Amino acid sequence: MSQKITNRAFIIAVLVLLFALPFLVEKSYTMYILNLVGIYVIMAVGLNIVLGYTGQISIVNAGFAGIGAYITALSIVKLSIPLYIALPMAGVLTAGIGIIIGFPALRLGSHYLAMATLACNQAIQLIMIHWKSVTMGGAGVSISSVNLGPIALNSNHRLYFLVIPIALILIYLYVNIIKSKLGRSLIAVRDSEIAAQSMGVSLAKYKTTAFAISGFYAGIGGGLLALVIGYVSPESFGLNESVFHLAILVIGGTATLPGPILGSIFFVVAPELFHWMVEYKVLVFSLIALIFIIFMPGGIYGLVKGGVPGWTFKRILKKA
Amino acid sequence: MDILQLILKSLSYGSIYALVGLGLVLIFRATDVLNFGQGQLFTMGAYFLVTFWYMWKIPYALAFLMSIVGTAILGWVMERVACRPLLKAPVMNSIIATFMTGIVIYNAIQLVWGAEVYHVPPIISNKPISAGKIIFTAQDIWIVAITGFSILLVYLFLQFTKLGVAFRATSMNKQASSLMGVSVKKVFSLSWVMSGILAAVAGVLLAPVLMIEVGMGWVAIKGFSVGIFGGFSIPGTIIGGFLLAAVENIFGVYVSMAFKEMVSFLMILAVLLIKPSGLLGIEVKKRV
Amino acid sequence: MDFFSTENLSISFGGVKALQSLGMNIEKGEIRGLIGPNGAGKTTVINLITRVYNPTGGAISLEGINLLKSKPHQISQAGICRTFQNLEIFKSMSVLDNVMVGRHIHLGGSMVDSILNLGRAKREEKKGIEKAHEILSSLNLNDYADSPASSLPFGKMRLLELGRALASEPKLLLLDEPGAGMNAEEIKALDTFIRKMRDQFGITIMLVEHVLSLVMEISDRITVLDYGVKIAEGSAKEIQSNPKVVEAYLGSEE
Repeated sequence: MSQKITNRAFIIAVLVLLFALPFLVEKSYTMYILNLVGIYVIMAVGLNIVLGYTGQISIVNAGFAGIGAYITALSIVKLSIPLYIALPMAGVLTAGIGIIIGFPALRLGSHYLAMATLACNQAIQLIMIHWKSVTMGGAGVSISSVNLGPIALNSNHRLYFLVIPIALILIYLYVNIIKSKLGRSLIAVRDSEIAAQSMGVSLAKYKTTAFAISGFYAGIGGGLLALVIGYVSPESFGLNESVFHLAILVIGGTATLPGPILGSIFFVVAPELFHWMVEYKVLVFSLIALIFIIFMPGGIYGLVKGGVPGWTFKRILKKA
Repeated sequence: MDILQLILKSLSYGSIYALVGLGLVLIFRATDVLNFGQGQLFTMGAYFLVTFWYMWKIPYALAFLMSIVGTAILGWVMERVACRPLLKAPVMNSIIATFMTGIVIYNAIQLVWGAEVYHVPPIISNKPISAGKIIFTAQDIWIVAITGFSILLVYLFLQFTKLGVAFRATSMNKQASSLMGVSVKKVFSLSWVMSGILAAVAGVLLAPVLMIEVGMGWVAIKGFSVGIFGGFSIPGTIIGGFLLAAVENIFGVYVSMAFKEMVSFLMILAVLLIKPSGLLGIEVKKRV
Repeated sequence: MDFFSTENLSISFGGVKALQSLGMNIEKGEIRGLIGPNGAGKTTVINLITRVYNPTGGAISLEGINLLKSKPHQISQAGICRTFQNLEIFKSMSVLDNVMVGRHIHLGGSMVDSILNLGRAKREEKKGIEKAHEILSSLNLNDYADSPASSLPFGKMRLLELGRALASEPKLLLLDEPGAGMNAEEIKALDTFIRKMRDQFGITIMLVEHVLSLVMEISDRITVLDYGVKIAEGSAKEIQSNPKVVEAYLGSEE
């Protein structure tokens, strides 16, 4: 009983802190960073559902985010669709794309699926670049001012009140999913496809659902990214970004509830603290991810739970 | 352009695809790992040549050799880093590991050599020679010859040397091989080293034909395509390499140059839909 | 109407006839043994019934319903469940959750209920958990309910698979070598439990086994396969004295 109370207290404390932050923090840039964290958390938990919990390797998440970003930006800028319709629409449409791209998952083993999703990510980026009539090609799309109803979201502080509540809601749903019959079915698919089927779990239904959910989350994340950065272009959603999405999961801890959150915080905040990382971001994060996947596959969360030093060194000595 | 001429023109590229695909297949058959960093081995081969021969002016033959050795070492390192530690881990971890390794190397190359594009002069003349209606260059012959020679060496190695036989045994059944005293670890290292060698040969051969730039690794996709086409069998992959290059060229001329790249994707799609086990490949079903 | 039957059931793998024209009738409430040397095709039969494989010919039906129309994930709904020769436990889950997956088709509530954590989902989960604990208790596994399934000793893992299959409330239960790797005491307990499943819960059972003492002891009738062909069928006594059966086993590694 006391564990439950401690958990509740922790959550309430975090919520209070999150709500209070914009009133305590003055610097706009700090809010921008917090917004980015929120956005990456959204995209990472969605990816965790399909990759971590359902065991389907998906290297197309950055592409999904790009689709969400473009749909949101173009809806607002070109079609004058209000934000409160554009953003959910981006999520839903990207979920639809997720279903389509999830089809290969139904027939392909891991290696092929990795290649297929990688190819899809590249294809999505190519479409962004070449379908100039719609996407404006390499020039990208700028969003200058966004209103949520009557309120102008013209500062990072104000955007925070859009991004963080959405992130919190999506995290809540993510936790629900994992702890429910749905989550258990996804894990069953990952652990043993044949046993899952014999217990009545349809592989097609659940794999497709997992991709759809990851598409929805990435779509919303991408849409918010468009608002926060104010600019959408193809370069932000290519192979490098996919690497970041994977790295976040690996570093944080794949298939753990808090992993994606820890990984996202690390990904966004570390380059702010260690500026040398910025220029070599891809190299640094792919290298860190590589080190984690070999020596600490449980990620940061695994380290925190399992206790660090002796275990890690033993493994290093064994593996070298 | 004559179809026959097109086919001849595609021999160079076909050789490269075959070599890169062969490297992939060797690794996959021996270790069950699909090396997502294969393209970087190819790129390293080319960059090593640029550095040794073009920049440091080391004589070609020696530079060729050094490039091969360098890439072979890289292959060995990749195996120790991204393959061996993860043998007992879930498949996804090893996929992510080789993928990340490829990315690390790609970025490291960019760091060391910069983003400039290099051009390497051909070692063998590429002046056109005509035989009747057909035009080809001495370089084409050189590329195909070296490729053929390399493949022959691989074949002889696998058939007639002790380590080669160990490799074939391990590819078929790791457990049994291990029980029979085969050093499976050695075979693993060997497969990655051989893959590095083949990729380097491909890189060196193709260096004069392509622009040398960081993104050269696109060849890997071709390697995957022909590997899948060949069902990860050695002869199937080699045939697939030449077939893909020929079809690409024909497609480029008769259908659309811009979408030539689609052919390799279409090839994968066709194989997966029609005969997933590929040409001469073995279908693997999990026994329950 | 037969309870369960196969007719001319055949399958080939790349030229090898793994199963040839198998005809089998299992009566309701029967415990049917399926034995034969290694490679005889016993697991193949289970895989065909559970639609993991597609037969090249023949028919399978349960209570008059043609099973060949079902997809693998629909078999549980049809009333058939199985265990696996090589154990297919959901290793990353707890013991309880493994059984809960078995309960899948009986847990109501849609995905939306799950995502929004609505009352219906919570109620169904609660009911499912109660039932799962019941099953675990009957197998003496309830103490392990919250432990990771991977931490169980081998024999108990086999029982867990049994519990998971039971959770689906099958009419026909296909057991694939449940006794493998068990010691004498565990086999005895297994024997008792299998009988209980039939006597108390009315489950019909097909038992593939190599532990011949168990099969002979418990089966009402036994079907014998060799190289994909049915070579004998009858009571334990009849099978034991059948020269064809003896011959089939003499050459195999046991």
